[in-house]
Amino acid sequence: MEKVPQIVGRARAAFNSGRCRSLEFRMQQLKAMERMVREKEKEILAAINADLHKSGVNAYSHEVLTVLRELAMAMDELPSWAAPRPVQRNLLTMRDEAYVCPEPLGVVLVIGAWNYPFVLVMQPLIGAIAAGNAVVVKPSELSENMAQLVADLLPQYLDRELYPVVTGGVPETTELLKQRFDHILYTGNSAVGKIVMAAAAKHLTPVTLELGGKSPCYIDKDCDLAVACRRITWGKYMNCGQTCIAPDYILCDPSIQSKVVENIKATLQEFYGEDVKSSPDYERIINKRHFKRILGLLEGQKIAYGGESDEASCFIAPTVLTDVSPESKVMEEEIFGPILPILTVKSVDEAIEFINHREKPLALYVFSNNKKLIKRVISETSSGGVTGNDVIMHFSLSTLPFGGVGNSGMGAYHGKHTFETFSHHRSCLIKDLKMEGANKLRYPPGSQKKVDWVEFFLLKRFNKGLVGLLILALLGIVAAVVTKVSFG
Amino acid sequence: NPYAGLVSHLRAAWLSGKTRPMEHRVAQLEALGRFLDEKKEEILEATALDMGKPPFEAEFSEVVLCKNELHDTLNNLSQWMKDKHVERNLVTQLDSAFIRKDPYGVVLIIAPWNYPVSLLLQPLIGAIAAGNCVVVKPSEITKNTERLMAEVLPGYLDKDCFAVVTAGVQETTRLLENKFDYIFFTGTASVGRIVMTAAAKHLTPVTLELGGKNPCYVSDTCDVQNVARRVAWGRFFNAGQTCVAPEYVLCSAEMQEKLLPALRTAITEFYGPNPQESPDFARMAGDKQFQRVQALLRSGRVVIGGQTDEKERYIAPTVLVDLQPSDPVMQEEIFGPILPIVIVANVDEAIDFINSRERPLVVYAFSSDAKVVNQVLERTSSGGFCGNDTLMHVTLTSLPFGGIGDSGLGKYHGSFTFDTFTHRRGCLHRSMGREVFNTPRYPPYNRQKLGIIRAAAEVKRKGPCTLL
Repeated sequence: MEKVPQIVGRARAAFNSGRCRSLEFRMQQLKAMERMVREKEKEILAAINADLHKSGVNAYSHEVLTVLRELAMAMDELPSWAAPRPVQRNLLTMRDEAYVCPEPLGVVLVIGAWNYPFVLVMQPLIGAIAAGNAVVVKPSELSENMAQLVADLLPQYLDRELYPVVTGGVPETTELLKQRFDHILYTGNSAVGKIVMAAAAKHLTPVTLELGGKSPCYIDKDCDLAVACRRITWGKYMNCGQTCIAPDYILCDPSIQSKVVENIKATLQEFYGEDVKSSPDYERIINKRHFKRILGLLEGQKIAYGGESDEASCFIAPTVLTDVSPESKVMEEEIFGPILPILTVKSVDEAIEFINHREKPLALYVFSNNKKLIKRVISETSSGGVTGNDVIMHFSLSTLPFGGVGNSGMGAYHGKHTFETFSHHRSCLIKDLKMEGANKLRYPPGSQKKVDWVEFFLLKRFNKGLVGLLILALLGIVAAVVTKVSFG
Repeated sequence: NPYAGLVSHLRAAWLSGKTRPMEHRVAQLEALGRFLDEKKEEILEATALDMGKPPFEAEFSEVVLCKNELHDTLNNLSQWMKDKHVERNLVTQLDSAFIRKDPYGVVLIIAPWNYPVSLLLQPLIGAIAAGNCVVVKPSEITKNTERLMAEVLPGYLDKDCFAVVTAGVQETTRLLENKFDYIFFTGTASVGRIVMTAAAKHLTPVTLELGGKNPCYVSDTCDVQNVARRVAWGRFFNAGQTCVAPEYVLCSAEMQEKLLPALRTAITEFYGPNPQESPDFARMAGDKQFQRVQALLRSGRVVIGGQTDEKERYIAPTVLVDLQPSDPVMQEEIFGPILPIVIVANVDEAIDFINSRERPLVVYAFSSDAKVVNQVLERTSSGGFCGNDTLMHVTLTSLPFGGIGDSGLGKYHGSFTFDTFTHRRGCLHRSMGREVFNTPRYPPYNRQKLGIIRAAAEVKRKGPCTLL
């Protein structure tokens, strides 16, 4: 495989050639990507199945559907996203052109993750291409089948110099991080996130870090437990718990703990049948290392349900733990597996305090019939995003920016937000070379009279509204005449 | 960790929720307005002592610009704070979907010395407006302003939620060891790297307002005297110590012939025959700054100015010609009252010259031919762009202000400052009812369920008939 500096250097030369700036070119690449996803659907689903034991239907709805949706949106909206955006002017700039021009950043790096290996590489790539950048793609080596497929497919459909794929593990990623990029979008864990940001700091490269954390799920006494537990079970055990926004742990009143367990048990039976291992809809842990890590979290815990495992197939059954202590190992790190600890709290106040004394999570969930309570939990906590009375779903609405805060990340993307993330918003002010009269106010020699006039021109005392605008216009004419007379 | 106590004090105030209600934010902002009004003379005096800042320049750039931001913020704060409801898809049609504007928590603002009041207060206004607790570190180079900020400003603000820290290089390094929820830094690229590296240890997001060499292209078709005035004003304002000042001129040999006498006229118009005697011309902010800029006078040939006076830290408004791209004055950011002129044959050569260097904070282009101005705009990249004038784009609060590449990351001014210090939190508030609609997403899966999910989620390309 070619050396990393050469690959990145070629991408930069290709970007500097200017060919990815035109909207036609970008559209052409996005169309080609759409063709790729439709023509190679079988191969894509097969790779996800090989990596995560995920059924075709599941893989399609979790990953392929999102990519197709984002492609359609980007192609439809690109002309309006990329157009210059005029801004409101003040009295001094009334006759000028003032607008913000979205421009490509240059050569950007997208580092994917292994848990949703297709969408976590493609969704950023779509927005980065739409914004006119060259993009170096580094899929996760842990999802080896998808990494190989992406490396094979992208050069067949997209411009090879502008959108190269770099495969490999830590050495290749380290080499990549030494190169200069104009933005880096990284999806993964906080520890590596710090390494990425420190490497980016050497080049003053802006970063978007999509990290993780322990997403809390508070179940209020006043709620439809059957519905709440079904939704939580779905979000927790999808992809065998390996979802950055899975509800990591439950907080609820001790009086409803056993009912919660009962409901989850019943739902699990509904979803996966009597023998989970033989259900085609239940995934596996990505590799032995994570398998061992997750099993280790069960040490000393009260297993209310599940707990079975099989190392050969990296299978861990959907598991529920009760009366978990906040100091236990399972409450120290993001679980990223099919283990659901339940911790009891006596009130929503206690739940809020508990959440606020820990790192800010990527997602926060709260279930209650009481709208006011949900609003209160949202207002008194912080998290990347929130879904009330459900889990996961805020991810699927691309008009909502998706990202973390604090330890769970920085920056956001999805839909138009991806385009904005990979764009530079360049402010443009175009004035007239004539009309020098008004400028005399600002030139030395200075005087108090000049200062008073400048204050008048600059300070926005006027409310918007037609009358305000008319007065503004009139005053503009008067002021121009006055300055010409006094200072001309 | 000498600052641990201070930071945890502010963090306790943050956790109490004190800075979140609109009333508290408005009260703090109005207090800042009173500071600007009541202490205007002190501000003018401090900046005059620190760097000979002329009263007009000080009032305009340190007071009026801040009041501008303050009014813009107070007028629009309730609008900016509101949840922003977003368009929903079919699946979420009946839900409440909005972006919540959450403060980050405890933020740090590190201010530079060239506009020591304004570049401290402008970010502070946005940080307060966004509901954060703030630690502010004014520059230690401009000692009088630093003292004013440390001794007088805290009296106007809630001491539980805001603190002013005076610190040199060593202390600032210790300060950066603490965890902040956002860091806003204005200064040089080399220190910017240090700040971002420190921030990476805590995964703290940053805005870095840095600098660079801002090119100024002057085409052959233009009103030379107007150009000379605007360029001279932008270059010599604050004795050149402005991050968006035009750093060098690119023009043809013919234009240089016309530009030199026009620049001479403009400088004399502004500062009189001996600028050292003019009350409207500033000084270098420190001995180190004076020596560094003075050394740059050795590049090329002085055609206007060139005089210096070490006692006053005075450097005359100077124009240099006969320069090579490798000359020291063309290598580092000048940040002083020296304007080098580099000859280029035409606009294409000018664009190539600009593109062969680091992307600057701003690109300037002067021409009476709009096409020429547009060409420079479209074929270069920079933080911002201003055609046919200098500096003015930073006075319009509706334009985001920031750099790209080595000139910075992030942006602010107006609502963009509020956004800088705000975490935009995607929220979806669903109902517990209508569970039947969720059935297709639950296992066990089959093609029928997939069909329903596809139909509900897939976005059809917009066709000629949008009614369907």
